[in-house]
Amino acid sequence: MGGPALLEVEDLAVAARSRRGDLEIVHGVGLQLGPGETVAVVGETGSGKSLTMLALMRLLSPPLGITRGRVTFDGRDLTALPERDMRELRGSQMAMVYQDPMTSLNPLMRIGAQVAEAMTAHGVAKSEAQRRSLELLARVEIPDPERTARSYPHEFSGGMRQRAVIAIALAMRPKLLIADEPTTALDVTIQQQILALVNELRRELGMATIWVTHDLGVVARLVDRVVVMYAGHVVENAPVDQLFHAPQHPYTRSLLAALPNPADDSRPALVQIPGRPPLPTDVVEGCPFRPRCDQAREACRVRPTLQPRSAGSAACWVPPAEWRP
Amino acid sequence: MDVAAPSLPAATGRTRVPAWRRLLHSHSGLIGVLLTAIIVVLAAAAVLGLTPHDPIAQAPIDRLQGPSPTYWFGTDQFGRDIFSRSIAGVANSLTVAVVAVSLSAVIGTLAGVSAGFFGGRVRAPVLAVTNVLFAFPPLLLALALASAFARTWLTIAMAIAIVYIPIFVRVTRGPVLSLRESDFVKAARVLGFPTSRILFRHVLPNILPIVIVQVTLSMSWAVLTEASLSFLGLGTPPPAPSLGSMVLDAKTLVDLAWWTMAAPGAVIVTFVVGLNLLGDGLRDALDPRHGDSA
Repeated sequence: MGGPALLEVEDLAVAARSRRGDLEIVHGVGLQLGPGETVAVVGETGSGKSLTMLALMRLLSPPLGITRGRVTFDGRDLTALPERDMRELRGSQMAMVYQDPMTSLNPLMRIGAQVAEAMTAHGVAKSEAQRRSLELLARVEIPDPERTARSYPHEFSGGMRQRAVIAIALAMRPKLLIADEPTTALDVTIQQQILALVNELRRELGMATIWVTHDLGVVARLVDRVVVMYAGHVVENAPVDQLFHAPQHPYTRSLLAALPNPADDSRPALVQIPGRPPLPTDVVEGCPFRPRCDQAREACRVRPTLQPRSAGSAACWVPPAEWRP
Repeated sequence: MDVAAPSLPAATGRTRVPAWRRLLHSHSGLIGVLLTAIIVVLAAAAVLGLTPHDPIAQAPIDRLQGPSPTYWFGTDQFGRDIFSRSIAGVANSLTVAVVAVSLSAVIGTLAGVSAGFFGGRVRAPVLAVTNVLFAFPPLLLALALASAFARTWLTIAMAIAIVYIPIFVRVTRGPVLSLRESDFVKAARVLGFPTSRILFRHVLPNILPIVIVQVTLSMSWAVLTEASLSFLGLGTPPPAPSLGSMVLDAKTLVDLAWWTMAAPGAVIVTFVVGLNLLGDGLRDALDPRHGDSA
């Protein structure tokens, strides 16, 4: 990854503030993204991945807030940016695609107007925005854009709506796209189409992309690197090939083992990781994964930090060579 | 990864049945529209001076006449034409109700939307005032306010407006609370839209149907409140005809001349029922989930 990073997150912590003190939910996450690079952030529900994304767009609403750390985007420190400049950045430099396309469009506005609004809000002239919205709708493969631009969201299917949402997100040609589980609410066949479409547009626009997902299989072929989060910590950050073939953290290995593999008869159809992730209120001494880890040992009573591991890094005291099978 | 370009069916572009057509297709909506229209047309005629007789002119010779071809609804104790007075009274009630409800709708909706959208500092005072106003029985509060000011139709309208502001705060705040958390409002924030744009283009239009329905229903209550105030002697000042004061005058005459009370009473009932049916019809017609097909 040559050149300066487009996005650099250092030691970002998010906490719910209350009179009785802060309850930290995301504990010092680090992340780096070069221009045009694609990264997947993977973790179970509640691992803090979506919260981290909202934090780096500065969209947390009280009582949630950033308590520590720095987010540098395109050379600017976002945590110190005035709200006005931040708003300027959102939607034009950094965009987001949401999970549920059924609810992320205004039911009372025509599709075309919603695409155009994403541009007029950032200073594009109305006529220009209208013309470009038709191009965008065509680009996300919505048939007959002239007519569909005049439709309302309820006249669209889920896949079509997600295409419209993507058109809106990409309207200002952002440098960074955050895709927060954009396919979870869609049929499997549509999922593949949407993934392929975003990937294609990403390459075309040279956008850096963060895929947020709990499904490793979905993004395996789309990303350069994978960041695995567990209970508000980054536990592993590795190039996608290494992550799949030589996971450096026992949690990553368990996640991979839990992927269904119909071809393999030698193991049960569904494998699970025993136990459940700790809640932010639970106090876990040492490594947060220790209670569920099949490799836990005495050393794990001290919290591990991210350490370089071959081409990536992992937060585990025990190198894979010493793992019990 | 190579996925063939999808060939999704085009959005069919079904023609959306307009809300007014759905309104006229429902029985209550149709009856509500008709009753309200009749009353409004009569009131407009009265405003333009197109009453069969002068509503204020007295004709002592003709007093307490029963309904006849000359005096359709009979005459009162001063020989004034009750039909003319009734429709002139409706015009007055309607003016008061329209002004009162417009005021309370605008103020109440803005307050409710702000209280729902911005937390804390805006919410607390708005809800405090709302709750205090709600603690009074509406008619009592209107009475107190009406007697506190000089009696003109405008002060009556303002008194009624204050009474109905809390209702608009209540009906709009809840939906705004959930709209604020809805994905498309969040998405608008992600897209960097300014707050004013989010409020006026994404939040307000989505609660407009609620406001419209509430306006219609409040209109009927406002007409009733105005009539009640006049009945209690604190409404529209005489000699301007008012439905409430006509009923008050008729109170002592009803044994002798039933029509003196029947006419203004029937007009009030017709108007209020009409507005209520219209409100119900609008509520169904404006529901965005009834997007297609009738």
